[in-house]
Amino acid sequence: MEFSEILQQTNFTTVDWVIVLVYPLISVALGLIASRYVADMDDFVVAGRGIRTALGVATLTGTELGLVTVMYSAQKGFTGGFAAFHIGVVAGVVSFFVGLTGFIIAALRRREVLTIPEFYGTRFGRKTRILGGIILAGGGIFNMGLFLRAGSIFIVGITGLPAESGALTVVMIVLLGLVLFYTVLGGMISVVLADYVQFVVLSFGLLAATGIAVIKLGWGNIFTRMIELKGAAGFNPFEAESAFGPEYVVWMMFLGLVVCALWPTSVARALAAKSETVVRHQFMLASASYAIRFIVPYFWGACAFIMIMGLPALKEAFFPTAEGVEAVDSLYALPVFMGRILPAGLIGIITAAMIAAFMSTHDSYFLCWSSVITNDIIAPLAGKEWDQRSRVMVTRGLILLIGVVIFLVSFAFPLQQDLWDFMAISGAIYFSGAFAVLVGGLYWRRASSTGAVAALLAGCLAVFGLGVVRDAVLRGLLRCSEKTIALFSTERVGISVILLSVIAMVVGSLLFPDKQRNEGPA
Amino acid sequence: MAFWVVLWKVVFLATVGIYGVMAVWVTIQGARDIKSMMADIRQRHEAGKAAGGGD
Repeated sequence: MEFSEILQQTNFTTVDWVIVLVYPLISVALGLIASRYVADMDDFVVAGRGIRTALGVATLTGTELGLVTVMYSAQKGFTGGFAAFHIGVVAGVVSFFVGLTGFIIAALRRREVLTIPEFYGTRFGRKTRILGGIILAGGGIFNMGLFLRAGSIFIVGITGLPAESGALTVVMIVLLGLVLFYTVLGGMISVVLADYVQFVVLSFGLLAATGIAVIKLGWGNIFTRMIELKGAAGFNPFEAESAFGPEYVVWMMFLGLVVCALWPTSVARALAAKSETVVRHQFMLASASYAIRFIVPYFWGACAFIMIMGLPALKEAFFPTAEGVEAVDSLYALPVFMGRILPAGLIGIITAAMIAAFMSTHDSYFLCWSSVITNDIIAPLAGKEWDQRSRVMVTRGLILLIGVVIFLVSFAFPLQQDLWDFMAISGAIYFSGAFAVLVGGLYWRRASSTGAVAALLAGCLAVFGLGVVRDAVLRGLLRCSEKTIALFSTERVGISVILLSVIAMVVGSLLFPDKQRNEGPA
Repeated sequence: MAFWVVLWKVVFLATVGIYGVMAVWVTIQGARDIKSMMADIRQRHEAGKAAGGGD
């Protein structure tokens, strides 16, 4: 059976299409409401710093529990089984620790900056701010470059739309257009309102879908079948034959820290919180969200694996035995699974909520990267005091430009690894250096601007963790053996670059101290 | 392996349970927070206008 025929075996009906088409209009309405409240950059970027704990948790979860998160997590559950759970557990534990101690986030909130590069500027000077802004915005926009592709795979898989039809591209353009519309209008206020609605719908939809998956497959049967199909590798992340291994687990520990304390959209929530106490409470409470946003989709991915392995046509599509047949992209596993187990009506609600999640992820990232470019690259380069109205206008224009860029990247970039691993390493281009600079700048008096620049540049070496770059350099240019290439796993490159950035920060600061100290640790 | 099977079952049930409770709390309290946030922004703007402040 052709994969396109398999895709059409979904429970998606006309009723579900109506639900899916009406829901995004709610976000548009919120954008229109919010635009009346925007007067300055404080309103546009951090909603006037008036976000309290519960709303902060909703927006944090609304942004981070996106369709892309669900897709890449489900893919990890599909390929790694329950062993993938370690990633979620680590993320939750680290977030709780960050909330308890206020590590990085409380110190940043205390400084009343709008963005991370702004902190670089106050601590290390203008040049560090501009360089940090370029790396952050560039790495961040690249990191979100494949979101649209993941979103399109989800919609194709769950609705049964033909992948090769023009309808899919139109759907993606319309969704992107809606996000751009309400983000440009209302900034963070729109984002907060849309995230809240999306949180409510997605949370209850997610719990319902999980219940249905357990009922249809059987709680005990799920684990029994995983033992039969994957053995210990499906449960123990340290197992040599698992998809992970000890180095990967260490890499995930670091990513747990990054996801909550270094990634700009999480930090933006901290900066938008009413006080340091609210920040800490927010992160401690949101630790459950950080865990569940990974663990539940991993569970779904594992269930998808079990269902697919039990159906010959699907098993052959995803794990072909015939010679020369290419396997279907494992990103399709989740939408195919959900399309088959969810009843009509609920499938529309879940799809609408997932599309809303997709939109809310985009709105936060558009706002984040555009404000970094405005405040941390253009403004310092322009070297003049900008009025607030102009800054808002430029930020709005940049949001539109970024939308175009990611549309182009999403369909052109050759993805050669699991989407989660691509995002981890593309994010590392920014966060490797950022970790060293933030920790050094916040907690070490002797951290200097030279050390900061060195750390930021060292962090860019993470690009060699990308499958396509690694292949081009090691296989294409240097003609390395497969054994040598295997040494440069994503996790090994990631951990090495972080260590290198820290070393660069320390050595650069000790050898080239600043002549005049700028606002050391608070 | 039995350890890992039990661990992940417990972890899954615990996180779903905690999340369910949190979802209910955030839904209710979040609606109140939105009302407060909008009121704060309105108040700040009015104070700014009264003080004659610009951008």
